[in-house]
Amino acid sequence: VTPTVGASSEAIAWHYDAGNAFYALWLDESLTYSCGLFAGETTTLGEAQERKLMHHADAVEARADSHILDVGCGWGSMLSWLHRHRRAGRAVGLTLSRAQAEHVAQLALPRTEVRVESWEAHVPRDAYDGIVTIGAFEHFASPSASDEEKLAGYRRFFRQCHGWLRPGGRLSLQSIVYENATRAELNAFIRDSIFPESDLPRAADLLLAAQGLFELRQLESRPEHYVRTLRSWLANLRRRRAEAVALVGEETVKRYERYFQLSMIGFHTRRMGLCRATFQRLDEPRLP
Amino acid sequence: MNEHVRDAATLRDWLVTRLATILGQPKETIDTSWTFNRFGLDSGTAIGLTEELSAWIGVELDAMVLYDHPTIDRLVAHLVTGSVRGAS
Repeated sequence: VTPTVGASSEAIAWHYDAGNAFYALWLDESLTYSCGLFAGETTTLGEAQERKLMHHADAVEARADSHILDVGCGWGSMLSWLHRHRRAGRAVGLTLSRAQAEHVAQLALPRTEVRVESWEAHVPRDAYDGIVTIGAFEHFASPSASDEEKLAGYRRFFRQCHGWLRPGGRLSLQSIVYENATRAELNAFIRDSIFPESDLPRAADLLLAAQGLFELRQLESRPEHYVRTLRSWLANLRRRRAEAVALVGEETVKRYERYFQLSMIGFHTRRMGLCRATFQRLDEPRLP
Repeated sequence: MNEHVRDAATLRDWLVTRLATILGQPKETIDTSWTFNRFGLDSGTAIGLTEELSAWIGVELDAMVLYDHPTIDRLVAHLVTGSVRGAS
């Protein structure tokens, strides 16, 4: 299942297979492991995650009979949301983490399929009405790739999505991006000990890679939402620290605390941004 | 919050001493109006210093406190007069 661009299956497993029970200690109830969408000062983490899932469902105009693909489905919160709120006709989730796939399978969501598969290897049975990818694009390039290789990999992703979508279909993407930091400055601790083999895009990369294939409908960056998400995760982890240490050990807990704190600073000082982008398939693509 | 957090001089002295140790330079060279950034403090070191400070004053400070109050003078003013973020 290992993709040819971006992080390998082993690198993904290293991070995401730390144990579902460990993540359940500090994520919100829906186990959504990505930035929430905060509306006001009083929004809770759970509400922000719910709002974020609704944002992406609306962005791809998911309806009761829609066929939706979720690239990097995590523990299935988007798939669950679609089933609960839109009774998705059919939904497919892709992940490279077996622990996540097992969890999603246990949810036994009707008309929902989860596959341990990279987006590169995916062959849909028939066209999708919408594609959602939240917090996965961060793994689509590796730090060893040249700028050209990196963009070519992103381009391949958009090309695949274009081929999978019905005419006029939409793609809703959420990803951490570089803001005032460069590739060379990516924190060594995050690169080596948290998300090995992964490199971030810039907002401009998304547009360049989609050029001629997709029309940009909406683009925003909300790094302050990630600061709040991370602050909640850190507070939750600290509240249940003893249980976390019992599950994964002191060293791993410390590693996550440090990763949350460094990331908060990274977003706060705008070294990184948090992009949400909506694209619509250009039915008469024009490749540069 | 421990009593000494209200004492600006004590807080300033603690921060100057800690920063001098971290940077490996004499206390006299620490200008309390300089930004932590100007001293070349990286985010990992900033987090370590924040954690030490939290433990010393008995208040869990936000990981970003050194960025919101980026000089020793401003940090001390925040700790003494401001509402300190985080559970005590």
